[in-house]
Amino acid sequence: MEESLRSEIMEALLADEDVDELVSNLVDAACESDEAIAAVLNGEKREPRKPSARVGEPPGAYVEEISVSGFRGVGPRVNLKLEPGPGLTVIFGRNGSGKSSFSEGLETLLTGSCSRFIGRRSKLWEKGWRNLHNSDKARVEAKLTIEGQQPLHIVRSWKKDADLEESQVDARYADKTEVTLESLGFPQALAEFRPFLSHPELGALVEEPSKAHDLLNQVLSLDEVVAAIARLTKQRKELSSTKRSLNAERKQLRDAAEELEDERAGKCAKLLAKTKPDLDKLEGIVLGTQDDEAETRLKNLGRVTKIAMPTNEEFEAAKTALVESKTAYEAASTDAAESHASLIEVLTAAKTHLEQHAEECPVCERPMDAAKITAVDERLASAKEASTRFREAKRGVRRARDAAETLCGRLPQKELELAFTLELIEDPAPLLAYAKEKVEAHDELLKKLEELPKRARPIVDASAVAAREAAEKIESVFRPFATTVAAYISRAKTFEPRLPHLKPLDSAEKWLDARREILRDARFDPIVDRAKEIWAMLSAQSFVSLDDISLAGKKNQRRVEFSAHVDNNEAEALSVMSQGELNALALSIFIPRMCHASSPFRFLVIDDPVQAMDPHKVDGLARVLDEVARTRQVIVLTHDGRLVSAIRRLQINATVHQVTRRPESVVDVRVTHEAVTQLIDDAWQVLGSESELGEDVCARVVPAFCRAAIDAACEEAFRRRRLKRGDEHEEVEKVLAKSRTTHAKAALAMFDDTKHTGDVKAELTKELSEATTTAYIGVLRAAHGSYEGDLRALIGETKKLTKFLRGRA
Amino acid sequence: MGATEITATQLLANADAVVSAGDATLRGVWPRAAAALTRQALETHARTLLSKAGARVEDVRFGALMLATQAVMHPTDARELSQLWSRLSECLHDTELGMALDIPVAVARARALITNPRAVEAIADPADDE
Repeated sequence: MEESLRSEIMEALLADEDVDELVSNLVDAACESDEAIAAVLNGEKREPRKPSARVGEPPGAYVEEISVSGFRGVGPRVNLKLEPGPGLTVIFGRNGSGKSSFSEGLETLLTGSCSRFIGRRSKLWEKGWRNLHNSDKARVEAKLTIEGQQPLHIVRSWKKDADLEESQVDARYADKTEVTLESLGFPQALAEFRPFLSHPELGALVEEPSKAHDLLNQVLSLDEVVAAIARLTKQRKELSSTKRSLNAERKQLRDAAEELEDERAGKCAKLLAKTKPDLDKLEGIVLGTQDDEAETRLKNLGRVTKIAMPTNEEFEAAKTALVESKTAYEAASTDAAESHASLIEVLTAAKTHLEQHAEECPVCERPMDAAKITAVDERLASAKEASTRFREAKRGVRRARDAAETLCGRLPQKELELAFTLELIEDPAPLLAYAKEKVEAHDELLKKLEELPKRARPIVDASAVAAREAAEKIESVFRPFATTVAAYISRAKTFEPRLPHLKPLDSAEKWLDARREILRDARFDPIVDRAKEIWAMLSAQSFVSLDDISLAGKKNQRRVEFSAHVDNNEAEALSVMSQGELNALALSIFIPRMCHASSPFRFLVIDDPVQAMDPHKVDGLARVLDEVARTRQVIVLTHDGRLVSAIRRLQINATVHQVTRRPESVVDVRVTHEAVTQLIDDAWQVLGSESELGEDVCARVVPAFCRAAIDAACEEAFRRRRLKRGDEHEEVEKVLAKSRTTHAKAALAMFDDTKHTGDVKAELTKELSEATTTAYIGVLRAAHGSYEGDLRALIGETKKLTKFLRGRA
Repeated sequence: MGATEITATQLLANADAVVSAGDATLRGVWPRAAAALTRQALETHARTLLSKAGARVEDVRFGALMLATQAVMHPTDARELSQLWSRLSECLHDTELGMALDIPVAVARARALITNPRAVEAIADPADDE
């Protein structure tokens, strides 16, 4: 942002006690960039800025020469030399003469494009910017005289077949030092003060009110303030938008939660009903870290889902073990296992006796030999063996029973009870009791091993299925919702620390917008005053008086408003003005913009301003241009001779360049004078080309020019005299239009009355000479044929005659 | 000095020469000079046609002469001849207001009217006027 503007804002900020530090810092940062605003919002402290000194008027640039070749209507190179200083220059030429190529060329040279062809006409421009007769050498250049600096020469050229945008720009001072248009500050100044104004732009005032608003707004140099406001708006809108969308999301989630048949969803709904929900609590619920009934139930269902009992194979194995152990036991029992113990006892005692008294049997008292002792030993060993088998078989039976009972006891009691608690199955107590019941009889135990899995398995399986289904039901209802809520929580938590920025951003935006309006009014008022002055000059004999101009509306509704009075009745100016008046109004407001003191351009280029203006407005326009030209270089292009006529008639000091275009886009530019002088000059010029044109051509053209010069002198004398005495311009022109012959015109010039047509020759002879009268008659006769006398003398006498006639004004 | 008996076609050739004269010779003057010659070509042509038809044209004003060509030319051509003559006169007299005429085009139109006129017999054919 321009330093002086920023200082002005800072001054106002410092003076405003209602602005707190954060808001002040935000306004200051907004004048810089989005990043600066972000830094302030992140807590960066800004050093208070000191207002700097105001910048004065920049050095002014005047146009000294414009050269164009291969561009628009100009084929071979042609130069337009201008007086580089305040003054009025009119570039005059018929439509298609190539005159606008100078203004469009200068605009394109400085800006790279031409506003006349922006928008709907852009396609025409793309196709038609090169001259058809010299398309290979497109080039525009200008010499600018800059106050206090060296003259500046700028060239924009295009290579063969290059597009308009593919030009090369060369800018350098007279000492050949290169410079860029950017370093001169031209691009910004061109945007703000555009010294070019074309007829379509004048029309924009009515056709595109927003464009007119923008064009005027630019000159106020408040674009950067608008940009700063836009930065704050962007940040504020971003936050507001996020806040709104989070709020909408919260409400949607609340409504969704209320619809769900889920306890957790119910809790979520309660939390989400608050404008600022407790995000941590909400997160605890959706992530399942919250210790609540629903979660406990879900966990318990998970446990039941994993319920398991011994397999059928285990039960079958237990049954087999039980049967086999019983069989073994019964086999061991048939060996009179019970008697073995006493037999072993007797035999052990008998053997002890024999060892102590090894002579005879204590029962039969027969002698005991070794064989008998051996037999006792064998019997003892056999008895011990049988005894051992029996004990083993007995232990086997006990182990098999213990295993069977243990197996029966392995039913998932806790899970079944949990399943019952969760209302997934009937009460499992009878089953569990049956499983724990002690069974003594072998067959009963076998039967239990057969019966228990048949009764238990359906219940266990049903528990698992029911638990899975219940868990799935809960999850299918809540989990998707929880996922959505989790995403919302994540966004809301990210946004939470930024929420407090909203209010200060809003305050900063409002403060700066209010300041913009204050600045705008302060800068716009002088433009309005000047526009009203210009309108007063332009609007001679208009019923519309302009009261005020204002920039109104915002965004798509932005426009320029003109309040006016029509015959003392208040009215909206645009709706009551004629096209000519609208043109005049547009000029009234655009000329002050172009002449703004801050503009480095001391020239204005106005293309085609006369259209649809009545003669009074044309006179008014000439006066306005004359006044503006006292401090600015005013370059006006027109095809309408009325402006030039008005300038001549009102004796406004102006240089008129006439532009003519011959075949092959050969464009001529020459300075022209008022009609009489010009026609006599032209006659001399034709005579000077006699060797090239031939005698006959000169003999026909020179008298025609001389007669036209006499006619012009007569008209000028009569017109001045009548206007001086206060006659209406239209009335004077009517009289002249009726006087078709040179005699009649001469009578008007000399006697102010066509009744004296017959006295013209005598008066000429009396006041001038016989020779002059003879020349006068010769001119009249030869104007439609050829003159056989001395053409030099003819021109000389014509000059005397016209001087005399003009002197009769 | 100068030949008085010159045809309209020769006058137009002179006008062409003026239009294409060197840049330095008639810078800015050429439109008005060519207008003067072209106007004379039209006047000469009109006078010749009317004379051939037996009219006495010596003292007739040129404006009237142009209107009279309706008697010897196709009405459309006569109308255009008269209008073109008026425009050329404006161009010759008015320094600024007469500038609206494209002189090279005007010379070409004059040539067409003089060298390639519509047949006078066609006057009776109403369809030709449409």
